[in-house]
Amino acid sequence: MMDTGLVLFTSIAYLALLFAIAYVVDRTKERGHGSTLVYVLSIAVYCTSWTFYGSVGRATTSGLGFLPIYLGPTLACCLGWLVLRRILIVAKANRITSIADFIASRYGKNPVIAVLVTVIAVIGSVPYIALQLKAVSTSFSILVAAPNQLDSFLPLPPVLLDTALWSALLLAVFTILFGTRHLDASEHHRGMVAAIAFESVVKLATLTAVGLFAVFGLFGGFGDLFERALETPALEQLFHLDGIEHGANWAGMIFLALAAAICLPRQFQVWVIENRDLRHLDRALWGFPVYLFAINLFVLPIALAGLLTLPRGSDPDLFVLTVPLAGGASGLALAAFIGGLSAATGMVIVETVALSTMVSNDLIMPVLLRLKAMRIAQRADVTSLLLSIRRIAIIVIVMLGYLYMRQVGNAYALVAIGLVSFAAVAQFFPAILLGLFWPRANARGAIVGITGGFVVWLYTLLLPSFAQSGWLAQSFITEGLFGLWLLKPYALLGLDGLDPVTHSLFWSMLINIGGIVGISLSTRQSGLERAQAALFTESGALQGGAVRLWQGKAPLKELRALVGRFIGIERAEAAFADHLRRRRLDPAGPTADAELVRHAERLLAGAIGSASARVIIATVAEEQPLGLDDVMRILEETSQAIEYSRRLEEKSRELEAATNELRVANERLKELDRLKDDFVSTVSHELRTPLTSIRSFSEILHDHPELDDGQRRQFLAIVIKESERLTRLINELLDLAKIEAGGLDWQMARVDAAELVREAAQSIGQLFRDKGVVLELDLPDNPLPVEGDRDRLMQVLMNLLSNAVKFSPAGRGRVLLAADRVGTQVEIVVSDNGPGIAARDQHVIFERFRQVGDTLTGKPQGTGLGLAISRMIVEHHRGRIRVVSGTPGEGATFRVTLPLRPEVIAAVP
Amino acid sequence: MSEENRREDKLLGLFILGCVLLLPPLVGLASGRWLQGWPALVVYILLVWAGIIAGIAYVVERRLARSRTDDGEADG
Amino acid sequence: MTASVLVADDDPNILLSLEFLLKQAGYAVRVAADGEAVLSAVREAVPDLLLLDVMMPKRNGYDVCQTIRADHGLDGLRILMLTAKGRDIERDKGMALGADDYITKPFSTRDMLARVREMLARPRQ
Repeated sequence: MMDTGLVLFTSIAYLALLFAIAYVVDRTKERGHGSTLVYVLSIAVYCTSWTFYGSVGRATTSGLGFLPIYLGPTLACCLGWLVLRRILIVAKANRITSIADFIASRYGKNPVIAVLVTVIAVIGSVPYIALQLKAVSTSFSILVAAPNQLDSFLPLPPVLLDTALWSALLLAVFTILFGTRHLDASEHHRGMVAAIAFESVVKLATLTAVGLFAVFGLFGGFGDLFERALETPALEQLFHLDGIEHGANWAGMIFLALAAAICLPRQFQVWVIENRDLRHLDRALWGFPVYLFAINLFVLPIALAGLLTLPRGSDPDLFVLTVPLAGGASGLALAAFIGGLSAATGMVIVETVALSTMVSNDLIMPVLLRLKAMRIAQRADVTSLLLSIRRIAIIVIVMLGYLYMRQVGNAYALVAIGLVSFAAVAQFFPAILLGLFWPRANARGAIVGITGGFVVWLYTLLLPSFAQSGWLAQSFITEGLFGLWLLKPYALLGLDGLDPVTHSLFWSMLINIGGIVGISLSTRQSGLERAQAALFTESGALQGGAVRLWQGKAPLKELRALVGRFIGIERAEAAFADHLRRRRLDPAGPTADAELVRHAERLLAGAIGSASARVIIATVAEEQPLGLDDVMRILEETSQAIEYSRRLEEKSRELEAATNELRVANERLKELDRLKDDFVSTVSHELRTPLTSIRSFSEILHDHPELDDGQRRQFLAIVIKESERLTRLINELLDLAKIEAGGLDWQMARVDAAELVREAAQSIGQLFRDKGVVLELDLPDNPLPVEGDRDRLMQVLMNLLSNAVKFSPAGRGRVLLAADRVGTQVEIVVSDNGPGIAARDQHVIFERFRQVGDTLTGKPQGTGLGLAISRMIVEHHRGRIRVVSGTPGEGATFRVTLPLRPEVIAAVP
Repeated sequence: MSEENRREDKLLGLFILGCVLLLPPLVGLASGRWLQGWPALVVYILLVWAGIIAGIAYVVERRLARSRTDDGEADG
Repeated sequence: MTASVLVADDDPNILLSLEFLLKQAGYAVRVAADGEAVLSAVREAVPDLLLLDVMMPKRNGYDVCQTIRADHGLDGLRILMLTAKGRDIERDKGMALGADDYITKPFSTRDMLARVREMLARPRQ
């Protein structure tokens, strides 16, 4: 028997040490993002007094049956990057304050879901807290009781003498001191986390010490211990894991623990809310399982040692204390008691802090905000109100735990109580997982699924626990509700053979997942829901979190004041100033734009949760409700962003090619620009030249009346000729422009090419005779029908003939004009015996203003546009115009081919 | 991004491997057997468990090492 | 002593009009229809002033201008450029290559004569 005073003193001193750690850490200036080790150790808050005492208890009856509770979280860590990392990124981007906030936020910031999750979390956690209180009080009584008193089934003491009550109150006060000293928008409790991390070290160290004592102090090592166990048939049974039912229970436990490791309010708190740097998560993914592995190494040895050394009937849940006590190591027992106290206090503190945040943000605040009389949004300082709500919530929750313990808990083993809680919070798992990966999961589905699962949990686990403790008739369990065997809570619809927890898990998950999937498939999402779903599921949006939700504006001053009431004026001012500076906006501006309003909402969400923040902001911001259009746009933007990043790699490759293309195109453009410039310059030149002559001679004629008649006539003839040249040039330019712009009115009809050639020869005959050039005509007898514009084709012929006569030597020139059918084409040939065209010039003569004349005699007459126009006309008729010129001096031959009319081709094979 | 996905997949693979090794029927094979005075079930589960943890640590630490050389600076 | 002017243009009508005008004004006029003819005429007898068209076959006005300016024996020769291309760049180019003045076609005959007179009145720097 130990001195009560000593135990009490040690306990109080230990708690004071914890508080000192928290206090000092809170006071020190924040540097960096904290340590990974502290983060990992704080996650070990998973190991409560249930682990510390209960695992050993469970091991005495089911051997390795306690292990799935730790294998599950290890497997959860395997999903760390897939699930936890996503949760963390989304939670940070949206300033999520609790698991209720997270789930509600995913489903369109739905306040009903926030309330539902909060209520379930509180109801589910109360037995768990009760378990901690029970562990503290029983371990305390064992320590101070007579050494032969190894049984914890003591008569209930009067309430005021109950150590559990006092420890509950003490823990509540501690939690208030740890968790609600001030309000932090980020909900980081650095001091608390440091204290929890310290406690994790104590838990591990003390349990390991007890284990070492049991294995090496009481026995001769592991081998000896296992040998002794093998000799005892009852113990040998512990190393079996047989049968389908065992297997189902084993698998069920693993899944349950996997879900709980993420969904327990305190686990969510330490994993997500208290995380200060995303990078810490990486190492926690193996650090946390290492801790679990280490703390479980000695569970089975302690259980075996207890069973082998302690008298029958000893409470196996307390072997961690009673084994060293019975072995005479009372100092070790005291250390073990402190270890158990650590486990219990850590759990209670973090759990109630997490729950009080949920209760205040998601349960009480929304109600207060809706009560017009409270005029919450108008109150000067809401921070103190918030803190008060949280403090009260902490006390109420701890007291509920105490009540449960006193009324129900004594009948129940530690592990069983813990599993009841696990099964409750596991109801959040489908909503979270589907919410992260299935965009269509909607709020109605989540509400139905969570509620359904919760009701099944109530019926199949919580109510039977009441029945077992005598609150309800035992027949509820043995015969079912109203005596209907189909409704037996431990064997619903006759499904028996599973242990109650696995049984409950199976049915509740069936209803839960079925509800979410079924309802989501058959109902639609609201605009906000769809936007939030996109935010949570689209990995592209995860990084940015930049989906625009607030469409409205708000008066800047009011907004700042409003946020100030919740997070403190100074902090609000600083946050606003920082935001405005970053975006280079005017701090004195009258209105806050949508982005600043969203920023304000996030700030508020950090203090009071997203659902409440939305309501608060709505009091000052004029929001244009998110219409379908907006949502579609948001979704479009989101998917565009994803598409964009997906294609970025591809783009950069394309970019290189595009750059090349661009350069080529640019050069081509420059070339075209230069050509156009040249063209304009050339046209200018061609127009100015005749104009110069006209003006000069006109002025000469005007200024020199003394000129003789002969000279006067000569000069006038020049003026007339140059005027004609100018007119022709302008006409041709207009033609060219029209043809190029496609504005020419083509009079397409059946034209006989032979007839056309004959006419051309007749009308230009005089020109030939004047110059003494012979024109030979070679035409077939039958017509050569083509589809064309008669006048335009005539223009081509006239151009070619006038060129031919121009370049033919006077007096001895000969020009051949022929037309005939060649295959499906009509070919017209104009051939002269002039100087010919050099090979290098043959392709340029069809370009505008590219005249190739006799360079010795200066430039030829003509505009330089004739052949260019001819080519365009011929090409419009789907024909070709070419020039063939052999050796210089041998003349040039122009060939024009035009397609025959189709019916002619058909008629004449 | 694809590199990130590949690492995510490695952990997922570890998860599936863990489920196969730690769930019935495989886990039941060691049930009730003894290896030179040591319970096979305990040894088996602890070995698999340690193996999975080592696997996670390997995948995570390789990524951390790589990201550190990428960043050129140590994290806090 | 009458000043001598060499007129260079490839358009026979313009050449004719310029020749007539300058003769009427009392100058000794010679003509050339292309760049090479200009240069040989200049080598034959250096005129006081060269009326030089830019667009000419064989060697264009710029070319001719540049060749003349490269020969310091011809430093006293005044060059008045003529062009039908109205862009500033043509004028700048001509002036840069050593032309003394510049006239755009079509021009006022009086204006042209006034410029010629003015240029011939002063020695070339």
